[in-house]
Amino acid sequence: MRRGAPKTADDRREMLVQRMRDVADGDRAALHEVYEMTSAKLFGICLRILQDRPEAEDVLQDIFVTVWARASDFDASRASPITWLSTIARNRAIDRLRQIGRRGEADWGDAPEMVAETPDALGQLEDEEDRQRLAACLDDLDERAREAIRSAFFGGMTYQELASRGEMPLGTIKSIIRRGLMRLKGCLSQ
Amino acid sequence: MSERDAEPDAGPDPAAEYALGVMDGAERRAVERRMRQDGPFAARVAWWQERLAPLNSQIAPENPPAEVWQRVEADLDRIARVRDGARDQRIESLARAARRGVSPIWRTLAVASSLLAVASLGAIAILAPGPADNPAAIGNETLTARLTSDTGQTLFTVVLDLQARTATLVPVSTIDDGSRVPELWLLPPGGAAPRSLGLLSEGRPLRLVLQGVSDETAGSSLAISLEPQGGSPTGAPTGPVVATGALDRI
Repeated sequence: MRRGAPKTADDRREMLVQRMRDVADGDRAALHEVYEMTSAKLFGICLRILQDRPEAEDVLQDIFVTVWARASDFDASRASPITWLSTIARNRAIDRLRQIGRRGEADWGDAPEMVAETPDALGQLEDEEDRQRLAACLDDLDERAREAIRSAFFGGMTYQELASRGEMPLGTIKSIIRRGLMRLKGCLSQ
Repeated sequence: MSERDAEPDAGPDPAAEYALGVMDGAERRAVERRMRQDGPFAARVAWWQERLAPLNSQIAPENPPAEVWQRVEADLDRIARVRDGARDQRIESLARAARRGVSPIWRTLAVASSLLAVASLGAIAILAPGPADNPAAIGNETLTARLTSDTGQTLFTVVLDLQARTATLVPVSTIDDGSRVPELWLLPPGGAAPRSLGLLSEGRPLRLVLQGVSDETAGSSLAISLEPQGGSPTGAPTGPVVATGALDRI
């Protein structure tokens, strides 16, 4: 019989799944627990995309109100809870970014806050196998495609923004990314 | 010939490009509409979202300020008021408004709207009385209120002109239900065919003349259904009814 904070990644994941079910049943304390477990991760995602703390805070608030209203849509047999939550966070942050436009020259470049290899504790809730497979498939791409795909994902940048930043024609960046995605799809489908 | 030259030129892959996040706002809305209508396509988007999600583990977490949770809680309180407790207060506040001359059409529409809703839209309700949410008087003859979904999204602003006996429903945000648009119907008593009063869409305000309702129409109901762009193709409601309300004698 295990009591207290779950120790392993599997335990934490199972606890998060259970709390999501409780949230779907209208359990507010469970939502607070989900918030405690995931808000730093989701805020990091919003901040990375929006590069603006007040905007990221607004989006985070919106995310958890959405989670409260839509927790019953979460299906643990189809996605991990952190994937589901991260996807909502990314989509909301990108939508907000498209709405407000990008303010000034954000630091899209080297992303110093990114750690290359070691996933954080919550990242370990992801399937380690999936993570390694994605890393291997990204490594398989040529560098231009890999960097373009990473910039797009982490910065929520449009083709147009990627083209301006890379000082290349729109058609070129589209071609690089679409080829990269096609290769990635093939690799990830194996 | 290098390996790259041997590759065919890659065409668009909206599922992947949506998940990656390179689309502009209009393209994103188009993909989301397609996801609602095309199950296999939605599954491809989900496939990409799940495959790319491990990249999130490379983003450093950052603790949000404590006030964000407090703001979430305030929103949940507001939702709970709309769902559970607000009905009585709302009736009371609207009854007060009615004593000042607000038409019953508004009262009944507002109250019933909060009770009947589909999941995709959530409950429509007037927010419980509060400093910001009360029907607000602008001068003596105009009242405004917001029709809000259960996620706090304002769907319509309603302006009541008491002197002209009109209610104007101004769409604030598009009801996010794919390509469907809300259409307002008059349902005569006794089961006669519904009559369309117009679309609540495309940012156009819809004006209802309250005094045009005759004794005959008393006992009718109003309903809002979701219809294809351009309105119901059959002249009768075809989509889910998201709100109804009885129409009393005015």
